[in-house]
Amino acid sequence: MSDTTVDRPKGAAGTAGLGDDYDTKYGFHDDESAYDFKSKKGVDHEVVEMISRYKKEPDWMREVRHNALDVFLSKPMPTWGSTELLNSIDFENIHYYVRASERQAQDWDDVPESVKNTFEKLGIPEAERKFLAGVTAQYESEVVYHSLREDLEKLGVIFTDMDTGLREYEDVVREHFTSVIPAEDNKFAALNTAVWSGGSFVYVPKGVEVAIPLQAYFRINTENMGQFERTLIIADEGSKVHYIEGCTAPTYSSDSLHSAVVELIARPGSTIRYTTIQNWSKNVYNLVTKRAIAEAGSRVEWIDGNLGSKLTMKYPAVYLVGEGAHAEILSVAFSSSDQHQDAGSKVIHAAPRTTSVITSKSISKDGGRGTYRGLVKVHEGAEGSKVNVKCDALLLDDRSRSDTYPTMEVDDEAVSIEHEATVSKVGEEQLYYLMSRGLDQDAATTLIVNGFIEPFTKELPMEYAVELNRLIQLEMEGAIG
Amino acid sequence: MSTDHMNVDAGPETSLRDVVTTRGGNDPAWLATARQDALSAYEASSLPDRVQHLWRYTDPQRFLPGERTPTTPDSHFGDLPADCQDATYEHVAGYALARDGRVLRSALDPLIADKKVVLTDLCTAAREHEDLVRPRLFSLLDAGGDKFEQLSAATFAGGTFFHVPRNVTIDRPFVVAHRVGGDGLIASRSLLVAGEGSEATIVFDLTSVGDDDAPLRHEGLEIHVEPGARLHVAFVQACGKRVTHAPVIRCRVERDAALETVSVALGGALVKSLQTTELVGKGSDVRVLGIVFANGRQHIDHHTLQDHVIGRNTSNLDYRTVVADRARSSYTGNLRIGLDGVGADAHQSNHNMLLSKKARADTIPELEILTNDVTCSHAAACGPIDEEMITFCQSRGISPRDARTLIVTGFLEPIVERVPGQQLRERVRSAVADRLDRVV
Repeated sequence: MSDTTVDRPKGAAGTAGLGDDYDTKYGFHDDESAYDFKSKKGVDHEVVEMISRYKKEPDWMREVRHNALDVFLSKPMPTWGSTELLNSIDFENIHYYVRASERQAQDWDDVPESVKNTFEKLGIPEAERKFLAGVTAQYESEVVYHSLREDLEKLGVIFTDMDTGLREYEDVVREHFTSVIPAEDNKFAALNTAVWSGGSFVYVPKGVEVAIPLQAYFRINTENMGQFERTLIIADEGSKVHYIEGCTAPTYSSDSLHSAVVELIARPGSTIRYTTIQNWSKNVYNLVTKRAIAEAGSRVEWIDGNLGSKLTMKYPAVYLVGEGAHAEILSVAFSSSDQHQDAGSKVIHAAPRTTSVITSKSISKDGGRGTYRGLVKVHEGAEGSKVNVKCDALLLDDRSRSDTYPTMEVDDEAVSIEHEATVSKVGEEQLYYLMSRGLDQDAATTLIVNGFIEPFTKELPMEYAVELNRLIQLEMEGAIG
Repeated sequence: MSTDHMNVDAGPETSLRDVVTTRGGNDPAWLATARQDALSAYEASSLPDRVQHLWRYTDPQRFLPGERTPTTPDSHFGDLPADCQDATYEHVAGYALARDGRVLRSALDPLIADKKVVLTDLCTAAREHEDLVRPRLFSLLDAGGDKFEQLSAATFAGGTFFHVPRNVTIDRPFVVAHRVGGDGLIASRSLLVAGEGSEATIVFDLTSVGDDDAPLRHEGLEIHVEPGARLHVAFVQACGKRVTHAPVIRCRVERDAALETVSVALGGALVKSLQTTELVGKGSDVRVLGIVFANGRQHIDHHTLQDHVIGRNTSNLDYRTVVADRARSSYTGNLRIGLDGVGADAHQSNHNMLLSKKARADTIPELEILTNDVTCSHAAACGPIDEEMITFCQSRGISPRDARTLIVTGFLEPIVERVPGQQLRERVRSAVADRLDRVV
């Protein structure tokens, strides 16, 4: 749908007076019993006002939200990527804010059979299944989490949900919120900024190395699987952190639009690794903006796996702004029938001797479409920078499709950029060899696929790697979807 | 054997519609109508979308005629290039001399007269060889309608028509020397047809009259390579540094046919070249080669498409770019394998050498693969001259300056050596050497 058909007030003038009748209209204020609230469908300044008031946010954040909504309403839909699917999103038919209690109230019986079957096959514990299906909002890892949190607190690490982060660390949030991804960046970042809820807030103090990965999973937060998550991670000088978002098991959501924003700030000498394994159910549009600022000598790694959703458009970015900063982006996309994984990466070299390595693997089967879309930009003065991009695509049948759209812009002479891409099918010789060893064709193909994505799997924590391999196996057997 | 194709347009040329009507006045009715339709399509279409990669790096506004009026072609060619002075046809099989988009004169080796090769102006051919021209002209135009392609289809003053009949093999190249001048709009269209089982080579040698001439040049080319034919085409563009040049080249290669194109881009202030090659039959072989050597403030933008509509064939693209001073090269290419492209073997490679800090190179090599039983790859690289190679040369007693020259020359040579015609190839080599002299 087009924005121009929506008649809404714009700018500050448009928000004036909004919310004046808030208390009488919604009766929220401090009344805990009013928690059964769910916003009306569609998004406008009233909904934004409601969300912000409901969360008791400071005025500046409310303003940020309203301004972002204006940006969202004024920006046209992207005219690139999967425009047909993008244009089919009905923004008026979405609840932009649903209290977690609402989601919790959802019935296990409403979860589609295919999702339940996959849980069964993956051997996901009962309680976790319900959590993943959005039926229950708590994962029974409270004990684990508590001890973890105590350890982190001793180190001075802040790891909380974004809403709590805003309440308890307002100054830090205010300084960095939208500093990496302003609302004006793109239509979906603007939407997220207007209606965000949930997500993680992480701060790692100077010199602290967080030994175990932080998982959104463990965070006792009713909103961590939200539609419009907002995550901000700050790694102070010389610190080191690994954050894991999502999980390999399919995440069922009745909402069709998920639009997260993730901002990473890597201070000099720090390391941030951000691992995502996205496996939304196949009704979901997953339109995500992820970007990192990497200062001198820091290292940012995006490990990004895309298995689920109907359409994913996600291009994790690193802005290398300090000398010697390094970006590493490793991604895998698996597209099956009726899926389009439009994923890639973006690296901006804006300082001397910055380096980046981009590795992308995509597998398409049963008519799925995998797209690599990337940008490497080397600014003048980024001398001595080095870029290596490698994209490999595996097509498992003649109905599937693979696209590679890499963009390289080089403004300085003393840099080295290499890009390579190949597209192939599963090698007859490899199959023949494995089958001669007694494997049937499916098992042989699965083995080849697992080998193909191995550079990705080996970067995952063990339990994720095991789950991912099993998931691929299920996908290959056609047992899912 | 030579023919003159001089036509003088009636009256001063004012609006585009007037020009189209005037120029169509000499055409057969079908062509005059096609021109009017193209003009309507041109006027109705909007400027290309810059979000798409094709126009990402170059502003399409700069190719609109604006205040420029179509140039009435000069009827005087000037001094003949060396290739065209070959009165004995020892090195060339024939040549055509063109000025401002129109072929003034063409000549063929009398010994091949019985082979019925046609090399003439397109407007003349439309009148004299309607059976050859009418079924093919505009047949490769993008149905989606490239605005500037419609502009050249409407306003072309003339262009080259080259036809090699079935099973005719010519061992020496044909040369089309084309000079442009003035500062108006120069539109031309060419149609090349290699008939079934034929074999030929044709070279386009494009220069401008003087260094100060600053025309806006829209050129449309359609190249048909019919079953089993082999065609080798070279475009050597060495215009002055004020020319704006926008060729759109559409190629169609049928089964068992082979097409090799070599494009050498040295001149022009702003160049936007679009070349598409459709492979519509099995067993065909396509090579798309190109070099760009830009210096000063030149901006050269090339887009290519290798479109495997049918598979069991091969295409190889190799574009090499050298940018110096504040020059900028933009290469965007797409390699597309359609649903019926099973068995396609397709490769695309773009290497860029940056000789100065202010030089810029953009590259977007794209792949769109719709079926699985294919072999496809692309590679792109950007970088300066490898310091280690210079050090190595120095250890052999070669000065750093000579080493740089050697390395750049060596980088471009594999493409340069594919330029047909000894004299033209030497000219390209010396043009490269001259430029290297200035920028290394």
